[in-house]
Amino acid sequence: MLFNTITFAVFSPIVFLLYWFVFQRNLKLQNFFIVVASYVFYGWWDWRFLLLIAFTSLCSWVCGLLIQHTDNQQDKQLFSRKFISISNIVLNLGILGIFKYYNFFVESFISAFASIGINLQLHTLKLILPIGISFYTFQALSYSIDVYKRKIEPTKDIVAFFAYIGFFPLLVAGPIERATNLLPQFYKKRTFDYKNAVDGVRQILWGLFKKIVVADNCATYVNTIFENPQDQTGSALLLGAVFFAFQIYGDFSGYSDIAIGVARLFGINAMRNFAYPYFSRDIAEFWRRWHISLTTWFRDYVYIPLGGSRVSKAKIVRNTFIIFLVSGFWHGANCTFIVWGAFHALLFLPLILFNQNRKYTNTVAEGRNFPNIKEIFQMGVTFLLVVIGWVFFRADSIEMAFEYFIDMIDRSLIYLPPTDRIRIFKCLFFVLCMLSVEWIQRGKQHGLETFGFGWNKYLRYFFYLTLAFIILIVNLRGRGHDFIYFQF
Amino acid sequence: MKKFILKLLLFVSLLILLFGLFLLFLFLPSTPRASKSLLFAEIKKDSLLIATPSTRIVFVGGSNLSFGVNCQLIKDSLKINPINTAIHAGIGIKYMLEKTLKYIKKGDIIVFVPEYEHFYSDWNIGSPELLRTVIEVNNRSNVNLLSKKQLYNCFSYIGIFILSKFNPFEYINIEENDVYGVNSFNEYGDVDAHWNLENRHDEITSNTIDITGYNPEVIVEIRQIMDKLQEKGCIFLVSYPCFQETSFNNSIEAIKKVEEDLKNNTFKILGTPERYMMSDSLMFDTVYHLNKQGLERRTKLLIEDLKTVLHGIN
Repeated sequence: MLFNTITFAVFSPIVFLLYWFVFQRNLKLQNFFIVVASYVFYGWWDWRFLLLIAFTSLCSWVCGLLIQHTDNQQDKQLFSRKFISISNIVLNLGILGIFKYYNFFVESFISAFASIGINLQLHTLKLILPIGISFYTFQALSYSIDVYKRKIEPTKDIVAFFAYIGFFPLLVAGPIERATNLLPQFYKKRTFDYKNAVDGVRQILWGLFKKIVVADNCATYVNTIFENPQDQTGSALLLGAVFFAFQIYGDFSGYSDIAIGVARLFGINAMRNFAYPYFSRDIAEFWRRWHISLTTWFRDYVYIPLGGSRVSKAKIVRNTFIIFLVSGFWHGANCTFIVWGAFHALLFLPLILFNQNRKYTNTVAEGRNFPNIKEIFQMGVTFLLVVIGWVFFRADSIEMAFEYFIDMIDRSLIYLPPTDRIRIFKCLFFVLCMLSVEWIQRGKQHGLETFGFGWNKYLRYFFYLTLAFIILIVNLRGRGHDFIYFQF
Repeated sequence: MKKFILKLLLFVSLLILLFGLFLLFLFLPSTPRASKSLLFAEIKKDSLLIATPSTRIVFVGGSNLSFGVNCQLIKDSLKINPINTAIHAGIGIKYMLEKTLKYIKKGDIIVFVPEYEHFYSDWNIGSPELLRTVIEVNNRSNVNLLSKKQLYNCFSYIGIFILSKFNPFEYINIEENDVYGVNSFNEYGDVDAHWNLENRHDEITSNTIDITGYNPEVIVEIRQIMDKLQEKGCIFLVSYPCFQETSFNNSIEAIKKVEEDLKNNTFKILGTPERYMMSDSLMFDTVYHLNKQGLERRTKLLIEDLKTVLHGIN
């Protein structure tokens, strides 16, 4: 069930009303209702996916209990804490590996051996990739690791745990929640907070705008360009790459805003996932602001255990490459994602080696309306580097990405593309609208948190109504583009 | 909570009200630019279907036909009266066939030539062009020909459709397009406006049809309409569109799938996909639109195939 569909527009109010008016009196029942609603939401795609998520949830829950059990039996331990925890990690990563990476490895082996004249007879599997598998697997892993590290007490409440893994707003594309933040919220009685709910609705509205109006409009242009790059002029290729940057941002940050906003309507506070990454002044700042829940996950569960940056220079280089390559590979079984990760590792390395990676931790142009020349230059260069990375991310193959760059460097780069001009101006208009609002709100959690608060009350409501109307008209197709990150 | 729900309901009600008011603009007359578009040629083509005497050969399909045959050559060669009803592939094959059914007479030969894309995704049920055709060209008189799925699909284009009426460029500097205009057709319904024009190869972007989007419902729909036409005493023939060679080679798997399914459904078929694959140099401005030289070659092939099949039937 997609957030931008009529089905969800019917589903969510029903769940909301039942949640607060029928099931609120009993916490266990309310949590159970969350699990049921979440499984309906997820099973809408394919009911077979439910078996997998239930299995993942059950294994991680049992793992937590087993770890607790070994703690209670100080003298005689059948299995060590470490063994149980590692078993669960292997199991979860094994499932992820089979569904997401098995065919990639088999095909890579076959082509590698074929290049030296050996024909391997290996079979690929015909498996459907369950939507959001990387997201909920990482959420389950976070629980097992945190229990092992004694950051959180293992839960005996299976319903609360299933709600933690399956909570529908966050289920298919995050933010990837930590057990330490989300699980305790299912232990406590939730109360309806009017201000939080109203701000949640504003956040949903802004997320829908970014997804439906900005990302989907950019997508139609970007798809045309990337489907036939060989037929495009240099400037069309450049615009295709730039619009893809805004498409993926509008798509994913829009999804995150909707997810966080919906969660707030149910009295659950999810972690932030984006903090205006295109206003970053260097790559390190970009990575503190882009897909925060995944970046911090890798930082806490991979980078720091490897020694982080408090090791020798050689190991810093190794750790940086590992984290970026793993991050790239997390996105999918394709070399393009690995190259994208490696490219960012190369950009990040000089900053971390010269201790410049935490230079910009504040908001850009803090206390001012406009950035200065230096900041504009820094943001422009960072954005350009990010766009280069996105071409690898979006291309079907590495060869295609390189050809894309070669074809871009052409005399036609300085001329406006001869076709699709109306579509280009439409995309530019919506992107500029989004950037303007977000620039004004760059110190806030989301684009509409306080936007228009200085205006007359009715004018502000009119603005919200207009925004909703534009979203409705643009989304009348009712079958908007899928969210890009679902495939991961 | 109560306050929140009431405010939200008020907001949603205002939004619905605003949308209702917006829908009223659906009844605005078509813009001057839209009135000159080729979609309005349907009025003339419907008159041809009413007035042309038997024995008739009726061509139904997308612009691969309107830009791809010379009916005069067919008339001279086969001595039957041709009518080219094709306008735009975006109208969708379901509407094209259902509407033709309205005017069909006993003994008519129907030659149906869909584009390959009609078999993929849900393009068969129509796109924004169908909405404009139904609302503006036919003044809503053919709405009853649409299925629920088509109505829902048309509804999804209403936003873009109404907004186009507020586009200032729809009202100023109106000149009929030299090729895509209401008057670009000859007395049989072929587009002849481009016959003496230079090729526009720089406007051609080659296609790649992805086999994964194959829609098996399309064949079922064609079969259903074929049964209705045969009940009326018509001969129903299917053929393959003229398709640019580069795009053909890019989409070979998808084309083979269409060919295989048409054969398996025992349609009477004219030619093969390869036969109607056309060299890139014979295209005019898209991968389906032939230039004069190309359309004459295609017509020649079509005549040969028609002679073979019709001889077999008789």
